[in-house]
Amino acid sequence: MNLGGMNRAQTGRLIAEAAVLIGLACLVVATGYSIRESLVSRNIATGFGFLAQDTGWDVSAALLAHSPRDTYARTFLIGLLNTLALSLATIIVATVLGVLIALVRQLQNPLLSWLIGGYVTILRNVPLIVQIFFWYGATQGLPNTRKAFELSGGVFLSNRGLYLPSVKLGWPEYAMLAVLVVSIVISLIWRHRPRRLASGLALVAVAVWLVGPALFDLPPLAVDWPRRAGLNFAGGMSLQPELVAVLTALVVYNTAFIAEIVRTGVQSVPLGQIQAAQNIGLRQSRIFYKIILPQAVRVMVLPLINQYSNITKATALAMVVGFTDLFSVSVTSINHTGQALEIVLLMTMLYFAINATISLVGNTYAYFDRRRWKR
Amino acid sequence: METLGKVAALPAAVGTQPHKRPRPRVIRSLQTQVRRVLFDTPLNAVVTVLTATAIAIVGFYVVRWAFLDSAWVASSPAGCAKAQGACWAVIVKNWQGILFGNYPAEQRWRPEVMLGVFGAALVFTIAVNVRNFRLTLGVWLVSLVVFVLLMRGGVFGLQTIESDRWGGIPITIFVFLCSVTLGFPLAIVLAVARTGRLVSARTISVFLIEVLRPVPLIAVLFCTDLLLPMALPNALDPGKLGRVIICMGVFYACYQAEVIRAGLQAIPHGQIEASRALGLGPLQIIRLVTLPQALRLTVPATVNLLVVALKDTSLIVTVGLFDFAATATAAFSGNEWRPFSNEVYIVVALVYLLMTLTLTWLGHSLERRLAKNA
Amino acid sequence: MRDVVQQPRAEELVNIRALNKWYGDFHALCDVELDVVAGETVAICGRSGSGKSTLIRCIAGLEEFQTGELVVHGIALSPQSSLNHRKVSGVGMVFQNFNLFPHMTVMENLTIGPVEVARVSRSEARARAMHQLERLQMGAFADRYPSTLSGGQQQRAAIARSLCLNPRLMLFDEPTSALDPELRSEVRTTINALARDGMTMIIVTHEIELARDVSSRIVWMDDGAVGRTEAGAPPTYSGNGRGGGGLGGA
Repeated sequence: MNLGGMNRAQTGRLIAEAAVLIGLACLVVATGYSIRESLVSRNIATGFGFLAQDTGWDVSAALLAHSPRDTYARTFLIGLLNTLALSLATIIVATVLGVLIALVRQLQNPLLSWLIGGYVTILRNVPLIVQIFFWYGATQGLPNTRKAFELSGGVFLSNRGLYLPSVKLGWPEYAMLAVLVVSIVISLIWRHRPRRLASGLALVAVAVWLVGPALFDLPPLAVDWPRRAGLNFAGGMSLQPELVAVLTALVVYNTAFIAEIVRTGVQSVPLGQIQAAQNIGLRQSRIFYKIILPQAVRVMVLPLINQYSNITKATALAMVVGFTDLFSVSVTSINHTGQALEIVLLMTMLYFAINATISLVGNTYAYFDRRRWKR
Repeated sequence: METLGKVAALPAAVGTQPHKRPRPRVIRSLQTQVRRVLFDTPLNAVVTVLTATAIAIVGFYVVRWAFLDSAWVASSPAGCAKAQGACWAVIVKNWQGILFGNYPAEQRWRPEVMLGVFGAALVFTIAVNVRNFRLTLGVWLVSLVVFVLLMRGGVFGLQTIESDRWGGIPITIFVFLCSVTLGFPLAIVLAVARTGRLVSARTISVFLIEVLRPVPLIAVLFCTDLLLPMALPNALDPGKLGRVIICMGVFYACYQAEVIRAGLQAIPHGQIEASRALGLGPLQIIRLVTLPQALRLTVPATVNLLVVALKDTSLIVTVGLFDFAATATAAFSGNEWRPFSNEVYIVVALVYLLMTLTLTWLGHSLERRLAKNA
Repeated sequence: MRDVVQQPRAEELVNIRALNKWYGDFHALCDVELDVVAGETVAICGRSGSGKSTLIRCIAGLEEFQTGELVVHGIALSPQSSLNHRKVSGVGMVFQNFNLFPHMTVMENLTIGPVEVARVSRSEARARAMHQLERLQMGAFADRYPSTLSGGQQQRAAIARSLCLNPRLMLFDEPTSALDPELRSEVRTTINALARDGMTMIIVTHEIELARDVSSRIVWMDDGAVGRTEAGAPPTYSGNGRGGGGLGGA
């Protein structure tokens, strides 16, 4: 058989393409028909009109102000922000702890390595949901507010949650944070003079912010400490026990993974590099910080992006102890409106956007890092 | 200077020929060895002392809580409340519920036998050391068939018990095995499609993988459980357990496909050119040359994914199936054993630890065997 | 387990007595004896596997050994001291594959030692590094990353990195064997010039040309033991300039 000068392989491929497309089309039509049938039979509205409606139900805790009179759109925003905040907090704390563990491992003390190895093995191999349940159970076993532990001045822990001093950010704080973020970005992308300028700028910003209230007419930072008031606490801010449990579980679990990622990165640095550094006479801590870590980061970036993406996904488990996040908002919305298709689509797109952002940031860093030096 | 222990006597003179001799056996006392690895510098000594102190303190409290002050037998939580430490009585009292969930009490022998069958399959796997891969696979597939027949009943005069009453460890193992059995072949198809030249198949594969990977499994489970009955005619609906298995299988396949794809891409192009020169067709090249090599290359990553899949079975509680974590929760929730939830979760964690470590160990032994053959 | 500081014998930078090393049960170094006096350039030659690299790595404190005595620049390394905590100072090591730090420019590679270890100010360290680079005709490459340099340039940068710490003794472990033949001469010229300036050096090489050219003494190793020793080129620092003019400065 020869269709218009094509050889057998090309013809075969064309037929295969057609078969796959026809099969897919049949599947889509059949599913679409079936779904339409069930929507009609259950008398469920379609379209995204529900986003403008009031929910009529409230979320448990959120960064933004919330009430049952919020629209679905705003409630989704609240869920999204909670997911982002929980992810970001976990990512930062777990990364810092993971790197610290790698640093401590550099001591090569067998007893300590054994201890860390045990920690990593146990925590990596127990499902996160079991760990969340465990920490939630632990918060339930804490003393009540009257007998709350005082962890350090002004920080209390009870079965009603964690009480922390809160700060009210004024414009000087925002200005300083903006400068800090800009200089971190600069120093991640460039080196040498820009990096030194950026760190100088950051130091100046912090210094001005520190001495500002004394020298200039800047408003000082308003700190609100929690105080015991009757049976409960007044002032400060409190984290619900659910959030404390989920955050603890997420951090403890992911620290174990990140510690392994950092270890793999550290091991990827050739021994010759370390011997050369030892020959120059660098101390072990300086070798780790100046020679090993910068080279290990190159290897760590991709697995870290992957892990960060896992963390954002894992925050959905917070729902099992009743913390409000993107997933739990979606579930409640589906239960109230019945518009499962639209909400699933919206939720999927939001998770997609979060993960796309993470991998964009990571890949941008990797791009600049690769452009700067090659092995 | 350090005492060196006993060293074989050195030869008196060095001739023109090098005097080769065996390594002197330096017998170091335990004390010397400990000092050499744990106390060789002041910093290391401080680290050792601090670590040992931390282990001792934590170990003391753990041992006191778990063993010395714990209550093993108590008919009611009040009996436990007197003990300062752990209340293992909650496990002792409810262990059948934790292991097997709501399965009718007089039929408990069936999940018990099932655990035995899985155990036998595992022992077989270890005994043949995954040497005969097809036979091992066959044994596990047979165990799955036995599972359905035995648990569901309705044959050989067994009473029929629907899947919504199944629970506990057997269901955790069953869901894991089924989703992997379903997911692995699908992953191969997706990976081959994504690296292949068929545009339509590649597009579908990329779409499925890129859409499912950013979404949490718990959300995918929820959506499948909700949408699949809508999308399928009633006659085709596989039931809750079936839906969960399909969902977990497809989700696992998306991750496994990416691992296999990396393996396929790591194979040098010369391999494909050489196969073409031998006259092999595109599918034959995949089946006989690239795929077997890719699967070998990706054993470590696959073992990691299998452990993830095993841990992920704990999420099926969110759609109302009673896996092991769920039956354990049921043992104390809604009754007066509630204060002792963490005793239950510690036991659950230990069981998961046992399962995942066994899986990892099997994976490592497969890896070692492949490395030896390579 | 402190390494004992001893009074160096007159002008002797390296004393090796009855050094033995085993890898597992393989006897890699067999009763090695070697003394190196200040100002000497010793080449260690031999087939691959003869133990010459192992010997120089022992001298640099990068390998453990089982029996014998090894005194380097007044510091006695003992078979017991564990590898991680050996401090050999005043000894520069040049590796076969350079081991430049790939994430730093040549200048950063050269200044990190003086700044971090010798606590020299950054500007002083830069000046010192620039001086060394210009000495090795590498001044133009100060702000380049190692991966953008040729092998010969990388090796010269690595030599400059060691020189920045003013070592009393330089160790070269096969400095030219990772290089293409046409790039070897630039490294050879550099080593030659160092010898002329009176640097004490031990050079492990299987390039007999390099050994004959540079060294005042050639030590042959075979099967883990020191065989015959032959006189190499006459001591070059006496002013017998062969192969081009000396390096400027220093």
